[in-house]
Amino acid sequence: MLVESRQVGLAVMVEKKRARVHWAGAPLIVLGLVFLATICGSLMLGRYDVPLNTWWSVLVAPEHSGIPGIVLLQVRLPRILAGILIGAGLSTSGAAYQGLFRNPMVSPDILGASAGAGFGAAAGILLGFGIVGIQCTSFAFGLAAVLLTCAAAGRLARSGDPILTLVLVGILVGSVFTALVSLAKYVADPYSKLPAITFWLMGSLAGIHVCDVRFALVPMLIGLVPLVLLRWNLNVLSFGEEEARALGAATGKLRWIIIFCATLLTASAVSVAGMVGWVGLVIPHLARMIVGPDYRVLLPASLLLGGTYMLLVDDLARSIYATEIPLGILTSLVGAPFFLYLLMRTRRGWA
Amino acid sequence: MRLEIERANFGYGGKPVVEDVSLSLDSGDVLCLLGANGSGKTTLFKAILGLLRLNGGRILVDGADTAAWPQRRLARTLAYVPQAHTPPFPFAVRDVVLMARTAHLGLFGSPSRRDAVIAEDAMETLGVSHLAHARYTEISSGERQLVLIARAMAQQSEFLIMDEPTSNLDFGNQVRVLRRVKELAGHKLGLLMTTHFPDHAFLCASTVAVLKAGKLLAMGRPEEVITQQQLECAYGVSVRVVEVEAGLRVCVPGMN
Repeated sequence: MLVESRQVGLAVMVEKKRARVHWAGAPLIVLGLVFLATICGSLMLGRYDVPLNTWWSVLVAPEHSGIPGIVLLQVRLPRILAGILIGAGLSTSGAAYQGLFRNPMVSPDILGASAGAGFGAAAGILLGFGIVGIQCTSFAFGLAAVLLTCAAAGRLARSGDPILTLVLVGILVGSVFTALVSLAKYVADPYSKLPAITFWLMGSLAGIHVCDVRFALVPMLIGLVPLVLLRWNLNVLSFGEEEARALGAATGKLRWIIIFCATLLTASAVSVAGMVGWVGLVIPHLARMIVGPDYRVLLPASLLLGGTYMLLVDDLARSIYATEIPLGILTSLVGAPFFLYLLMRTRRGWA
Repeated sequence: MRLEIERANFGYGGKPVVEDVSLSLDSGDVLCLLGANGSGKTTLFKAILGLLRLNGGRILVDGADTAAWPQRRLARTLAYVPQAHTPPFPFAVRDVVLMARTAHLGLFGSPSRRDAVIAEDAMETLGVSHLAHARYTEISSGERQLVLIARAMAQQSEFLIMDEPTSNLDFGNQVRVLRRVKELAGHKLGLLMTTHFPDHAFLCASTVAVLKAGKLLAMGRPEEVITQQQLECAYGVSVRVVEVEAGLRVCVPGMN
């Protein structure tokens, strides 16, 4: 009798746990709703008041909607779309890098990808390239920076802690590219190119046009889609190269696809909005705290949370002060203290 | 099925690590590999698993050379059980076991309901179902070892390659793992394992091989191979092999 009731109890427990597993998607639905709410809120926010009841007429007949239509569709919407793309892109690339390098402290900033992409874009502006040209140079130098970091860290890793080595080398490579950015600024024309590079580096979505969004969308999708499709393999890769291979993962191919996609995402984000730091570190972490480490849920969660976060930061940037505060300044002000908090919370140091 | 290592040779920078080692193992066998630290056991395992290329010799499965096999096919034939470790992220135990299904998925695939059932069965077999929702980073090392064996089961391979499955475990957990090893051989799996305890080979091995400095010192049934002379040669310490009762032998080290 006792045994029986225990078994029934166990069965109920198992059922409950099953039910919990089936609802692994629930946090995603919540994050999705928060994301949609943030989009609506951001559309409403601004100096010019567009009442909710006029939205419908704007959406139905944009060409006859006058000033509300221009404000909503040509000023706010492109900016919001760009914010979503950049936030989602940076967080997804951060999450992917963390799985690939088996290190929750890795991010596009720390691997030198952002600094490389930043220099690439500065060089593009200096040479008078258009948006596509800037994206190409940005990607090329972003990738070069990551490869340099990986190669140097691989050589050094035999004589020490591989994770610490990777992070240190990433900081070194990052500082080299930061110095090159300074060089680009130094030689730039102080009346036209220098302000362009400087303001762009601080990060902003202020000057976004619909065509910028369109140009950024293609590389973003090329980067995002494979990563989302490979999310199961990211789980396996976080067990390390040898174990992942023994489990049947094609690690060589995967490594290249993931580095390529994540760097493409970082570079296109940087080429649209400048240096918006720390998003790729903070958001995957936050997402992991909410949904756990399984990349099948973590990757979409990072994507949604990244989009939401970037919109909120941009809302702050355009509303706390009469003039806009550059995005990069705000993300660092929020991101750096959070990183410190993570370091204090992690019991095993860097790993 | 039959797994054969045929005259394996491997070295780093001209220094031989594995020299002319030949082993073979059939489904249902437990082959225990003994040898001192640095005798080439790990290198041999890596070569079998396709993680490093041999300088000479071949790894054969039913007579077919595995050198050209893609990693996926190799993983469907040979499953690896590493030593209990801690991954950087706190995955749920059931997800750790589910990772075994990677070899059966496409590049962009994700495990299906059927894969989940296979993983659940494997956990059931190893008696770790109650841990399914626990975090892998928070269970004991004995439990982790059993979970890793369950994962290898879920890989549905013909052979299990186990790297010191009893190291870092307390006495009770060592015995629990060895019992499972014996049961798995009954499931028609071929098991190749290394151990630092010759006693463990007496308890569960059908064949024992001894490596010394990269060379095969002896191979055969446990009571033929695990002798005072062989152990002293392999490990360089004095040992007595005592028969406690009929068919039960233990190794007792000499302390002077």
